[in-house]
Amino acid sequence: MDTSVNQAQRVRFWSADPRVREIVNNVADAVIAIDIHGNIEMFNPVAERLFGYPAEEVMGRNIKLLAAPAYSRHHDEYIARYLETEEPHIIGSGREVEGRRKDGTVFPIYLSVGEVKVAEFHGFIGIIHDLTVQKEAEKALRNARASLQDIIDSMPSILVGVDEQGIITHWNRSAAAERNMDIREGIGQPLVKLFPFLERQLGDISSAIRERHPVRKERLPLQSGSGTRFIDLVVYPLSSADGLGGVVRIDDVTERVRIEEMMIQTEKMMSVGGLAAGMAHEINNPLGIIAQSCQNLVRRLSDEIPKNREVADNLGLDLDTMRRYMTERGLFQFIAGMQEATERAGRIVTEMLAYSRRSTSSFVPTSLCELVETVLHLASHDYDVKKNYDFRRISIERDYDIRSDVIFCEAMAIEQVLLNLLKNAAQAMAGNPQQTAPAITLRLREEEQWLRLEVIDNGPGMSAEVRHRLFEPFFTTKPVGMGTGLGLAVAYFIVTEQHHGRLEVDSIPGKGSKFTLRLPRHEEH
Amino acid sequence: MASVLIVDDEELISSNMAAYLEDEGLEVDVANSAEDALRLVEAGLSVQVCIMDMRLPGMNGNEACQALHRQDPGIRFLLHTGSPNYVISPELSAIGITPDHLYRKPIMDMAEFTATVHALCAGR
Ligand SMILES: Nc1ncnc2c1ncn2[C@@H]1O[C@H](COP(=O)(O)OP(=O)(O)OP(=O)(O)O)[C@@H](O)[C@H]1O
Ligand SMILES: [Mg+2]
Repeated sequence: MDTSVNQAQRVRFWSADPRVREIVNNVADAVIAIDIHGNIEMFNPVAERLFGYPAEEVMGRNIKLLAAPAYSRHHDEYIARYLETEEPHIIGSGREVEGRRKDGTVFPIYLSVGEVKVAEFHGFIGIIHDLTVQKEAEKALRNARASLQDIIDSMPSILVGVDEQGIITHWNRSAAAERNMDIREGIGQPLVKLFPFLERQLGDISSAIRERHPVRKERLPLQSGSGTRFIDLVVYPLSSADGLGGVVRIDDVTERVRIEEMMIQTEKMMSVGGLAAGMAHEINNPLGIIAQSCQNLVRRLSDEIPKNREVADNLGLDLDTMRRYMTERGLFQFIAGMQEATERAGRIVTEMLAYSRRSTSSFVPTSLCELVETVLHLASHDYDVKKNYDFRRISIERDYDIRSDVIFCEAMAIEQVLLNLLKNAAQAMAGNPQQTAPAITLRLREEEQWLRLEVIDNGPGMSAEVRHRLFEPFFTTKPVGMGTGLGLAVAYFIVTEQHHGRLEVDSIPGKGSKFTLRLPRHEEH
Repeated sequence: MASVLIVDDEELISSNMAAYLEDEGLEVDVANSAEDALRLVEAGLSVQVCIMDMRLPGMNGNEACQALHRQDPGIRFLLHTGSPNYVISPELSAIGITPDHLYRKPIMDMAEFTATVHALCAGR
């Protein structure tokens, strides 16, 4: 190689003029000159600092030494191509690439390249600006933006940023999900186009933004396909450098409103319950009279009681004919109807009374497993249950995974709750005959403070409408006389109010229902 | 013959119950108040089983059972009440009345109740 000759020339050229040297040495960026082969001709002090090489060490070596592998590979081709075609790619302009330090680390740089052609020198001059700090700042900014987006995306609320004209500037994942859209699609669209239910609120939204005061509206009712929904709406004005805007926050509070309404209903029922306690006595007496009168009516028509025959004979009455007449004219059915109605009224009175039981005096540590067995036994013998279907046809699977099953409860009340759940499941499955073998799974698990019992059936499940309303007093889908609709209302009251537990429902229509009961565990000492 | 005394201020309750028990071959007397019941026993009525309503005008069922028990410790009691929250008082427990002897109105089927009456009569 003829480096020694060139070396002499180089030194001459770059140091000939002290003013050039002075300029090059004091530029704030790295300045590197290469010849047309890519060999380094000049390396200023900033370049030394930036790349970690003393100038003497790089002089005459190929510039590829200073490029990150991804760039160095093609460097020769770049130069060759330029010299051949004179088509500037990077020449005369600049771009972001990566440099490599002596210690091997790679760092971002902005490289601008110019061609130099003077008598003794033909080559290129590169000015290199270190982008490390800037890149880090950009990255931090990107991260901050991403985590901000993450934050607003993880909010369950629908959040939509709008400008003064009501055009969407930002929105979060919940908002996009509400519209079934991709998060990138909504930006630039009018708010009311994507959320037509806000049409009526538009005046308030824009005045909130213009006048810069937040607007808050609670429980706005909306008609939707699946019944009435309720939303809370908040509009926060934003004022940034580039004009007015606002954030619209929408929360679906349908569930909360329903539960509150139910609690109000429950409160009402409790006052009714208090009344019922006093009234029950007054009602039970006449019910007793009706029940026993019916029973006596039927018995006094039967052959089996000698006195009946005796009196009939004395009157010349044929009891058989009498009975046939009564049968044919449906009189026995009327009596049976009275008996059934009486029974139903009695049941309503009893269930209403559950609302007036408030004392915790009868709370005792109870084994939930034993209680479940008692209730299963009750269910298979319950007249009411047997009337409609045979409980013993249902296969019961016990899936227990617990260390202790002791809860602190009023055993009778929890029995009532479980009996209700089992009866409901059995009734639901009976109404679904083409179904595969009816089965109830009882799943028992421990949670931190709860014992969780799931009652899972493979019946028909229920619609969203039914699922929303089923804890309401008197809500029933069963024919008149079959259900009072108090079963779950009472169960809910017993569990949440009396026992400070939880009762929840899940259902997949066509697949079955799951009732989840959580009761506080009894801490043994 | 086994003798039953029904104490209830609601006349239709006692007459219906009496009708059923009579059809079952029991001898039944009826009193409309605790005071009447005490008078009947005082006058020499022999009672094996007394069916007592708890909420009565004047003397209530709780006192009446104790008073009757003092008059004739052999009387067995069945409590028949329309009050759903009723629980057996310690005084009545003391004279041998247990939850098995407690019936709540309305009794939907008299057959089981009647069997208990028979059993108590036979147990004497
Ligand atoms: N396991 C279930 N599967 C499907 N639907 C159910 C189930 N449990 C309850 N439901 C629905 O919830 C309604 C309310 O139940 P709830 O127990 O409160 O009243 P009910 O069973 O209709 O009447 P009652 O309990 O007074 O006899 C039912 O009518 C039924 O539509
Ligand atoms: Mg039910």
